[in-house]
Amino acid sequence: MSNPEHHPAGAAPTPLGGSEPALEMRGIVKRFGDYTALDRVDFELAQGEVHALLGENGAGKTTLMNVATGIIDADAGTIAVGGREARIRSPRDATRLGIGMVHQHFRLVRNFTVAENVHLGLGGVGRLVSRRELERRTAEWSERFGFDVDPSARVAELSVGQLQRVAIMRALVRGANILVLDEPTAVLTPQAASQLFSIIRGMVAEGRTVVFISHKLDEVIEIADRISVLRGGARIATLPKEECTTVSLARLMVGHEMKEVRPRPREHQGDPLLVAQGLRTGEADRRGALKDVDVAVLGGEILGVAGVSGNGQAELAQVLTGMLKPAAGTVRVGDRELGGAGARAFGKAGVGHVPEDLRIGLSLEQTIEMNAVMKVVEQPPVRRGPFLVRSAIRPYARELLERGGLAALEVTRRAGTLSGGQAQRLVIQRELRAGNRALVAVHPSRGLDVAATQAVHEALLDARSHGAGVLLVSEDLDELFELSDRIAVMYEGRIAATLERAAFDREQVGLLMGGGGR
Amino acid sequence: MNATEAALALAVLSAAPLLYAALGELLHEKLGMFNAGIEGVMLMGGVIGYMVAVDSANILLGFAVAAIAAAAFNLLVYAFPVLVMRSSQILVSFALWFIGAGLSAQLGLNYVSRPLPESIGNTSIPLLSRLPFLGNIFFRQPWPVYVAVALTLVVAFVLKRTSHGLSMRAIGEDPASAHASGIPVRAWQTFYTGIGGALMGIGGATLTLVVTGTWTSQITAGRGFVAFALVIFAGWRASGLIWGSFLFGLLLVLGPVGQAHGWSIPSSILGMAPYIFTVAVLTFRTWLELRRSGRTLAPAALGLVFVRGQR
Ligand SMILES: Nc1ncnc2c1ncn2[C@@H]1O[C@H](COP(=O)(O)OP(=O)(O)OP(=O)(O)O)[C@@H](O)[C@H]1O
Ligand SMILES: [Mg+2]
Repeated sequence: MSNPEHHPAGAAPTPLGGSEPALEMRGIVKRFGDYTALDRVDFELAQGEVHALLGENGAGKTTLMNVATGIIDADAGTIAVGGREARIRSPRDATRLGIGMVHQHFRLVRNFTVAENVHLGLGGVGRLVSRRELERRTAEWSERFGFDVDPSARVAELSVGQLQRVAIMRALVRGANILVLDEPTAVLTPQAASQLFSIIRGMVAEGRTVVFISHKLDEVIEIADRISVLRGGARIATLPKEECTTVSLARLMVGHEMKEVRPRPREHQGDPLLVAQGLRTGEADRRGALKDVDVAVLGGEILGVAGVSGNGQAELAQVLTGMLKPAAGTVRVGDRELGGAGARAFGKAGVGHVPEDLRIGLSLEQTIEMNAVMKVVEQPPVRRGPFLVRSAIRPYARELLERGGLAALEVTRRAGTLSGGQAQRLVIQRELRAGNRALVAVHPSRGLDVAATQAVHEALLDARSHGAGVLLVSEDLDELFELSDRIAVMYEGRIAATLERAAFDREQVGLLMGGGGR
Repeated sequence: MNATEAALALAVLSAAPLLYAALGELLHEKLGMFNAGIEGVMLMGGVIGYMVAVDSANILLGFAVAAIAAAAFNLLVYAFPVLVMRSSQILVSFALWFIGAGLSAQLGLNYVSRPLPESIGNTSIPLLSRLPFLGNIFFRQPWPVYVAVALTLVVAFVLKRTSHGLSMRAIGEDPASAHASGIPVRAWQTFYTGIGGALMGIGGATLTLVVTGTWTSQITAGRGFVAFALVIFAGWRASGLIWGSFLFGLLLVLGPVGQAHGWSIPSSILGMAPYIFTVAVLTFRTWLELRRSGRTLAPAALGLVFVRGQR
């Protein structure tokens, strides 16, 4: 390749004048209508550092980085790159200045293959591409970065964990000088995350600069050199990591002390509420396809599902909520057989679903309030006889938002404008309501800040106390160990083992996830 | 050349305007824009090409001006409202259709009975034209037929085998992601509505300057609509447009051929064949594809508005 800018993870950039900041944003203001998302934010990146950006859901982290990468324009403020004033009007300008970003929701083209996505916008105009060549290069890169993804897979068929890896690889290949990672580890397993960390360290050693956005505070302390905290659209602190602890950071973000969620022992164990037997899906040769899976979620328990992303957890959750028809096997909710039925029947039977892909959970073009009532449009008070009761929608939506700590939001906004965490909160509150019998939650705390994560954990425990059965799919072992009564470990489309709480053991689960153990 | 060969050769000739127009539409749709006003642009290209060719006695000049004028017309009446003002693509398409129809009729009033000073003869392709049967049908045609096929192959190649084409398709699939990966979405959409408009105009000019050699108002008689269906029929694949256009071309000549041969089916019924087939395509093509592969072949973001800064 001739163009050095496009050289994958190319030669190390020469530091510009040493002490000049890599990126300097001054007085950035961004308004959405009347709402001020960024209020005169100053943000400075030193050359060669890992700078973590923290803040509650909706604090403005993504918005600030969207300004830096030209996705949106600021209403006021200046940006300098390497000490020189820069006009960044489009992602293209940003790329030219060596700024790259891994987006919170990836921004991958669903109908393209992994290889096509990795190459998108990379080559010069008119450059010839052949499918085979693209896939060969992608396979090379994916090996180099230690990401295990199939270059010829269509993106729409990947699990979120795999999407995350594709998005990261895409950015790494571009060899950006300043790389912004917006919650890159939200759905990565600890192993994949530590792989990412060693890549980050390698980049920094070459003199590159990394912005790292995350809600996982221990990760932040592990990888960052400096930490900036946003609250309500303003930057309230920038600290070297030596001065931070997870507790002090949480306090800075929320503005008050946090109490801890105490795992509670299960109170009573009910009858099986969500039972599946002999499940099989799709092409048997795919790793994630289910192969003779039996599960039973009991009332009053939380059944955790562990596994490396792409080993069938997503398929299991989809089958148990009617999103995917199994090729064989039965699904029962209570005493009703729902095997071939669609998502609507499952919803009616009282099964809530927090999907792994928010684009499925939310209708992004619709308003926030319509999304809030989506699951109850066929029930009173939203429906009376054949009519939709408009006046009932808003109070219902408002109440739901309030429970999710989203009371301040304008309910007539498009759902697509919610921040990542706000969208997740909305879906969870809605599904907790809908899932009075059983709740299938996939990465429910993905993208949530500390406080919201706690709130969700509390809510899951409450649902359990009320006798609902919860299936909790997560890649975060801490979360699973804390909340689950039992844990099923999946490997290559099978349940490798189911452990009782007394038998929880990190090492054992880790082994099982990798196909060993027992 | 026997009668069957002559009829089939006429079908190939009649396919050329459809192929140009459908190619223009394909460029719109691959970049996420839906333009149902092909007819209007074809008519503008057809009339302006004819006027210039008559007045200058130069057919090539007629084609060139038709292309430029149609591109400008499409940019002004379609691209500006859709891409700048964010108006509805459906409404704007229909405005494009009606404005083109009305304006072209007005412009061409004095040219209705004026003949072309010269006509384009057939160009025989060496060797190939000597093939039995096929040679007479495909390889003794006026040059705009060959150009249409060649351009379609070029577009197919660009879309499929170049990184530029990959980026074009990304715009139609997911403009926000395309934008985030550094592709100037709106600029390219504007550029390709220009190119697409020029192709539709050339299609119209091919009809008036080559196929019929006359101008009357509404001469396209629904061909723009047929071209629209052709894109769907071809499953949004450029290469599929080629044989698809021959098929539609065949249907188009059924009426005249039937009349000439004194078939017992009324020619008015035969004349409806392409339109009936068009409606059938619009109805069943996507449905069939959905049953076969579970997804449609249409670009995922076709018809959606992309506004930078929203997400
Ligand atoms: N287009 C928009 N219209 C209106 N409000 C918006 C728009 N985009 C973002 N916002 C609001 O701006 C605020 C900041 O959003 P942003 O996405 O930057 O949050 P964040 O810090 O990244 O949060 P999270 O941790 O949840 O991802 C949020 O309250 C969000 O709802
Ligand atoms: Mg965010």
